[in-house]
Amino acid sequence: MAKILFVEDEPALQKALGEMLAEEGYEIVQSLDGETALRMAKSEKPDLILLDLILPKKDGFSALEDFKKDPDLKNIPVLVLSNLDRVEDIGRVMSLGARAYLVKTSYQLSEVVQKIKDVLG
Amino acid sequence: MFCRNTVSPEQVSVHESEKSLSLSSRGSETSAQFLRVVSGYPLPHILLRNLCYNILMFPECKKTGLRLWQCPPFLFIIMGVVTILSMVATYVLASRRADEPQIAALIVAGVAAFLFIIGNLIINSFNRIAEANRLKSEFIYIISHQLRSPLAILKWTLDMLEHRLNKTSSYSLAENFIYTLRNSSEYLIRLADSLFEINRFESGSFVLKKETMSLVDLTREIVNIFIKYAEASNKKISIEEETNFSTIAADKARLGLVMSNLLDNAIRYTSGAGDIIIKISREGPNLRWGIKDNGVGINSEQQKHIFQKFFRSTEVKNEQVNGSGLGLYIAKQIIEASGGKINFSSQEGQGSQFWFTLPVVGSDKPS
Repeated sequence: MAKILFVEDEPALQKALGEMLAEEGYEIVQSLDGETALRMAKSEKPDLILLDLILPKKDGFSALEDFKKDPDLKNIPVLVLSNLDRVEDIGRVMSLGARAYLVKTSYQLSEVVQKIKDVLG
Repeated sequence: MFCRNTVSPEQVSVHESEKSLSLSSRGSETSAQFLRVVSGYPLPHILLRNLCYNILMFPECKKTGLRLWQCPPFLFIIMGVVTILSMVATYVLASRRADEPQIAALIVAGVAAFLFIIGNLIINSFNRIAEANRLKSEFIYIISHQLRSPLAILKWTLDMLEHRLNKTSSYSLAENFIYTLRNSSEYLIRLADSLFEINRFESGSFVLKKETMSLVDLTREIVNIFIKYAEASNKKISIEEETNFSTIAADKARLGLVMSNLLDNAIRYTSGAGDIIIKISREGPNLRWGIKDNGVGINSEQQKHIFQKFFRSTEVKNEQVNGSGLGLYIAKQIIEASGGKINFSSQEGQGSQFWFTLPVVGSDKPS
């Protein structure tokens, strides 16, 4: 059973996507800000990280950099979910090594779940 | 950076900014000192601060989409040149009446100071326009982002609601409400997307993702999406392909958006039964994609505004109250950025024809 770390500060989205993924059989670990994201990634060793970009305490960009610098974490695939869609943001995230960038309002829940299934194989 | 790029560069020290003194002339320095003696006002400090600020604003001009003749630093340089030239001319003229050199010096100083002050006033007003323009783009960006957060919540929670209810018998009771909620939220999402897109055009960060594709295939795809809506509104769509070769290099998603906008308008702004004809033909090095409807048409007085942001003609407003007026503006930006042209012709009460052309890839091939 694959473990997913979901980094998102909005509880309603944690609930919606989290429950959908739990139904699909994944184990969900929640993080509500950029600082705890790193701690939880190290302690829980997830198989996939879902990362929002606008987060309290430390933003998603810095968190992503931290993940990729850490030898234990750098091979975990990261899917970025965000509301931003500027070319600079997408470029920055992809060059930092994220697997994909999804704009939340452009995807239905079921489509996000499908993308996650595709990445986890 | 010795001049901070903020609206209040008060911390500029006169010593460091003397490097930029070369642009202002000796004459204006004398005149400035003269005025300071007279008025006790620290004029050179302010002038040097403005000088620094204006020069550093040069790359900002491109960012805020200002043309060269609107760009404050460029204007400042022109003003400087004009100031120097008029001073030289005044000096030459004044030195003809050489009896009282002090008068000549005073005239020179006076004219120089006058021109410099006027120049600065003009440039300050341009600066204000540039700043307002930049703030507007920033405002649109912030608002569209703020809209997206609750919209994402709305969308996914609705998905979850439907998902949960699907497994129960209560689904049929809720089905219509869910459909309505979804339509409204999708409309808002598209509006926020349009605002983001427009901001991209205006701030120059609009990048097309070009790929080689077939115009005919994309047309068929888009028509397929709209076919049920067209049937429901009693409209018939037909595609006339007058060329075998329709390969172009374009941003598929965005071109699809243009076609969707045009097709949506054709269906929406025809009351009752209607025929919509899409024709794809070859015109020299270009492909022409045209759509013709027999709908409400566009009043000839309003035709010149049709591609403007937020514009909706009266005929269209009579048909349907809702609509952002952004579709054609965005379509025009996309087509022109893709190297094509878009235009239309229309008769009030009879219908409209919209078309765009795009260059063909490998245009030496026969049609």
